[in-house]
Amino acid sequence: MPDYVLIVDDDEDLMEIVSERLKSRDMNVDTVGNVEEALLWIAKKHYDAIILDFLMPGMDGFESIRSIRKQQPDIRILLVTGHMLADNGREAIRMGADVVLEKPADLEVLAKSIRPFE
Amino acid sequence: MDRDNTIVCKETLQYFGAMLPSLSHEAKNMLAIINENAGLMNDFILMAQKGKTLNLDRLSSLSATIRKQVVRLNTLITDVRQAADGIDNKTQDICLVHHARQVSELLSKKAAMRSIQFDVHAMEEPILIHTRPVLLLHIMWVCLDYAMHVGEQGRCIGLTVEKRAENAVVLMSGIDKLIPDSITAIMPDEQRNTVLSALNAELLIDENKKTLLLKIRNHHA
Repeated sequence: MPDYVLIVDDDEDLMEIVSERLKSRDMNVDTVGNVEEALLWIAKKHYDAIILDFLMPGMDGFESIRSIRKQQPDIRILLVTGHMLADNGREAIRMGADVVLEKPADLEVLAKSIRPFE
Repeated sequence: MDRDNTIVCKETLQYFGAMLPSLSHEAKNMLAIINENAGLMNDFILMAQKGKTLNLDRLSSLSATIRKQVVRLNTLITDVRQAADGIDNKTQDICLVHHARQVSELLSKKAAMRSIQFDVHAMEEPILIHTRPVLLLHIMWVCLDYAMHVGEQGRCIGLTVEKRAENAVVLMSGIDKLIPDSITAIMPDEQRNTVLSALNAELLIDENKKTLLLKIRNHHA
């Protein structure tokens, strides 16, 4: 069964290309440009994983993780960032992120993080 | 004079301390786009090896995206290299428009997080000035950073760069909540006066028009 993945990033170019590459790996992918919109999507649709940029308009990364985790406790949260210090990474995991990846992230690592048990 | 030099050195360090995380963020985003485009090209090659026809237009578009990001990244690195050349605060001939764009680009992610956009207006031709570039970048940075943090989210902050008689000016507009103490909030008096004096510049606030004006006197390169 394909995985359902939601990508949240305000960089449209990057989001579209990651989406295209994940789709070619038999995943169903939706994309949104901010966390508020992401919360609306996960309220109405089940996702196996969410790929989240840490620095997003409107809500900081930690707050985003908390809100997403509260709304969908089973979702895998993959945080991707170009700006992560070790302390922030640990804090993100403590807040409920499953994986923290630094940009530029390897897509195979990303895909493996979405399907960790394959 | 020693005290002035100490202040100038501290302010220079402050600029690099504030700017480098933004630079790193922008550079990593550009690298991520290059990385994904190269990865997608590789995906297409693997598919072609399995007999699928290569879409040459798509490949050409991916290659163009990579080249675009390389140009952006190269500009960013060249700008920072130039700023590093000015770390000893020697004077240089620089283009004020280019420097205003550089600061707004480096602050764009911070601005986007507050749903704020920058709109730079300038004539096509460069405005060349002879100045201390790092201090100039620093004062524009702290002004814009302040402008973002006072007032509503979702605004557009304008930057108009132009010549006015013997002066070169950067007019920052759309700053919602300027108050009389704003000038001190931007930078404490002693530091601000030292930096402005080193730049032969003035910083003027107009509370009614909600603008900040950086005026660089006798600017000719």
